[in-house]
Amino acid sequence: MYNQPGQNQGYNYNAYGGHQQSMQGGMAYGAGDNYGSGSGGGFTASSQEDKKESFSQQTLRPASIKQLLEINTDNPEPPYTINGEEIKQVTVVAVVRDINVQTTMTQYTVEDGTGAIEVKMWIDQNSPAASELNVPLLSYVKITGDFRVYSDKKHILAHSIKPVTDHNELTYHGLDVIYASLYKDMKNSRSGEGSYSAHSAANTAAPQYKGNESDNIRRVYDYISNAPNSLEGVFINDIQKNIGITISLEQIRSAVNLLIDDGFVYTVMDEDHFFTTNAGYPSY
Amino acid sequence: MEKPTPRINSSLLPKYVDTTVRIVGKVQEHRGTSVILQASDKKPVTVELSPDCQIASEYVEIIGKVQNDLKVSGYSSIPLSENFDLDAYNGLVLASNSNPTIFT
Amino acid sequence: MSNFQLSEGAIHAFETNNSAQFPTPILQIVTQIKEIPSNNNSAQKQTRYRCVVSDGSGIINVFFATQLNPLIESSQIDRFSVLKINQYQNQNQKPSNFNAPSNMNNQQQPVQQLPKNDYASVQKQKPPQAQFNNPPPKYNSGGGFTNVSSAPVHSGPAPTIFQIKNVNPYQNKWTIKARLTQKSDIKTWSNQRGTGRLFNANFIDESGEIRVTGFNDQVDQFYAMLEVGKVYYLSSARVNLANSKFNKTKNEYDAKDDFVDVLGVVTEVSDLTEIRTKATNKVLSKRDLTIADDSMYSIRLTLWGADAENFGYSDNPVIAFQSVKVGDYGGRTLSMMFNSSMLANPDIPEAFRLRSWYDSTGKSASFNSFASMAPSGTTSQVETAVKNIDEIKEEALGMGDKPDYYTLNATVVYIRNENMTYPACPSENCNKKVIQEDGQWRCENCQRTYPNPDYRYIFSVNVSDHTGNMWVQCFNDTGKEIVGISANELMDFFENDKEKFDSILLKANFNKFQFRCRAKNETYNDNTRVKHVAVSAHPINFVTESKKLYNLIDGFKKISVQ
Repeated sequence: MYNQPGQNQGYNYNAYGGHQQSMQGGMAYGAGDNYGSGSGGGFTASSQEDKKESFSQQTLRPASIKQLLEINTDNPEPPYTINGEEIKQVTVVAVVRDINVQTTMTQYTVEDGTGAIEVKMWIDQNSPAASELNVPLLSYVKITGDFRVYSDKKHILAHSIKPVTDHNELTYHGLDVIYASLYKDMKNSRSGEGSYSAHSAANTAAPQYKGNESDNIRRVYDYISNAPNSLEGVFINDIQKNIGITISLEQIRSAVNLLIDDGFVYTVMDEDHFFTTNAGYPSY
Repeated sequence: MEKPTPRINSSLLPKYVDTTVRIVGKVQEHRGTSVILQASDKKPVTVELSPDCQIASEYVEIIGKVQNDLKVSGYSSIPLSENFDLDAYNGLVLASNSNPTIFT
Repeated sequence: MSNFQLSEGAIHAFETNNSAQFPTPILQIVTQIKEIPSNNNSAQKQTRYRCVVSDGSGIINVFFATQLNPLIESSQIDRFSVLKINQYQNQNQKPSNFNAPSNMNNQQQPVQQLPKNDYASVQKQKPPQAQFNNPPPKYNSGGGFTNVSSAPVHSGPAPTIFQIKNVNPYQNKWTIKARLTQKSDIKTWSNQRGTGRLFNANFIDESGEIRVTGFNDQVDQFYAMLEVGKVYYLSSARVNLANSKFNKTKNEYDAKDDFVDVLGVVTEVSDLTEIRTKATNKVLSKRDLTIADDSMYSIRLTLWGADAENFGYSDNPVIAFQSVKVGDYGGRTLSMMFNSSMLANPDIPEAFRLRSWYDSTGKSASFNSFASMAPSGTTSQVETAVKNIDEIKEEALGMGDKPDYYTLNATVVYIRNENMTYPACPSENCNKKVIQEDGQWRCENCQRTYPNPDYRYIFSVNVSDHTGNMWVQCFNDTGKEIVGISANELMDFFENDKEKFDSILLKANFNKFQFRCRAKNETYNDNTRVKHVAVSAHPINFVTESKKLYNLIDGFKKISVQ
């Protein structure tokens, strides 16, 4: 059942690593203009070892609490992974069920229908910013923070907690969680056996286009030219599926239209099937 | 609170009898100690209210247990914004039920 | 030259073991005739040829009997030839399997042979059943306009004028009277098969649009004389292909007060609103729809009064609108008038086609929009492809010669807060940096000094999504959207209330936006790097984006609940 809100004013928070300074990168309260200075964007977490991480690869992952709880922490040190993908900064949309305020840190218990987790945030109660913080009990908030493990316990160290005002955000976040989880597989399935040849120079009939669409046009032409031949032509959906780069149907169509204009490609049985003008026919 | 509460609509009630679920809907009718919501699949669900589970908004999220008669015994409620889109939310219900490992 | 009629249904008959229904079918060759590569192992002595033929609704593979080789080799039988097949054998009936070769031996002279020199390559709205090839330019013949004259001067009796929408591949002599709306540049090509030139031209009459291509000699003959805006008679003996690039909802002509019929899928429905009409001071209900079709364009269509109030369709209906007014408020728009009409999900093939297109690919597509964010009169803003950060990097957007534009949904995770603004010239449209001189601010561009500058945003943010992070530069509009207040107001706090300044920036962080960005190569101190600039930023529309995510997920892994 769901707890009544506790109002624990005692100083019994865990001595959390003894961090005194505010978090860089996250906009810590009462931190002045300490937004993580340094040129090139010094976005790092507070501890030294995190700074060694390759920042350029860092992502922001929408996650369900269940996904976070299932992260394998047999090795309590980062990197942490969800389905083999490294994660650090996460977004969770959840209901605040409990608030525990201490002098320099506030601890929340949140749940999102998939599980419950602790969220810690450095908030100096003596700072003016503390009064501005609006985290209402028993309502949805959006939490952005780092996934952490301390004393075998998983939690989120929050950079920001914002109340949800448009609850369609719940829907959006839930779907975003699924999308992010399927994304790697989606990408892998799109780059299939990509039978297009990148060596269009060998194909003297290949169109020579300049400009930033040229890559697409060349790739589409190569794909159609080299695709396993069929009676009905190369199907536009197959081009998208197997060409080996992320490309939308309308980008393919726009490339094909240009090729058609210039006489390098033509439609076969309908306007979604193509041959190149020096394409072969099904061989025996 | 640690136990997952699957997001469902009216059509999924039979699948979750005796389970604690999350159901979002639009208030259709107040009936004293219960309320009829239109769930995200546009079908009705009856929610039995309790002291912790009251309705004060047009759109609401209920956490409760599905009874044998497919009514939901409400444990807690959260009001949702006026512009809530049930159609879009139904997409989440379907997608999350289709991808259970992420949610339950 | 008499008309010919293809034996529609013959191919289906071949495939379903009903060849007897078509003893002497009339078919058209739709591909190049190719020599069958000889097999070293086979006893093949003579060359054999094959091609694909059409009956107007289906296609099939055919081989030619070797008796016909001389005709093929002398190009008397060629692509687009129409043949009456007097004798054939049908082997291998496998219905609806185009890959099963079917063997037809043509033993006799064809009945109808159209002269090669006399055709125009025409592209228009595709009729639902026909399947024709888009021919490559003929390298050895002129193709194109045979008779183009300016209206109204013409000699002899007036030809029967066709409406553009009725021009079809089965009638080989037609004349249209239409206005030239667009003329492309002359394009040239050169490949191993030869060289050539072509140009495209769009004509329009009251029934529709048509695109005509002139090849080689026709370029010399017609290109210079054709003037956009003038009306011409255009006739030709041959229609060849169906490549649908046009749709009535794409307005190529400058027709501000025209009425059009459109057929589209409703992709968005706004809420009902009320406006007070200036003319009569009456309250009028209004509702905006966005309709789109597979030309990949979308346009706003406004409903008024009862139509707006009673609009109850959900699930993206296909709607046929008649006689809607074309306007140009905020780009190009359509509007229902009192004599307009609409019919949802009409029982016509075109509507079914749009329905299945939308259900399969359209619903998750991005459309080019006729709506512009800028006031009307300026060029309309085109929607760009949505990318994730890894795609932006993998596709090397911005590294080409031209800038790349894209849409990115991402969260601001870091605002670089050193020098977020610059003092700018307050005069309209100047925006140049002003220099402080004796307590005044001087603009070199305007040659004036001002007591106070107009601060404008210029700062970088690091944004992140589930695939990575990247730096994006923001200027005044985007900056204001992210920070929430104007640069002047922020500078005010910076100077007078540092606490408030900090708090504002704190709140500005970790919000998610839909950014429209431009990626461009820039060289700075011998270093060439891609710079990403956020041209605009808008808060995420959770409902719209949820639906898009749903479709993406469903498209990849079908969502089904037991």
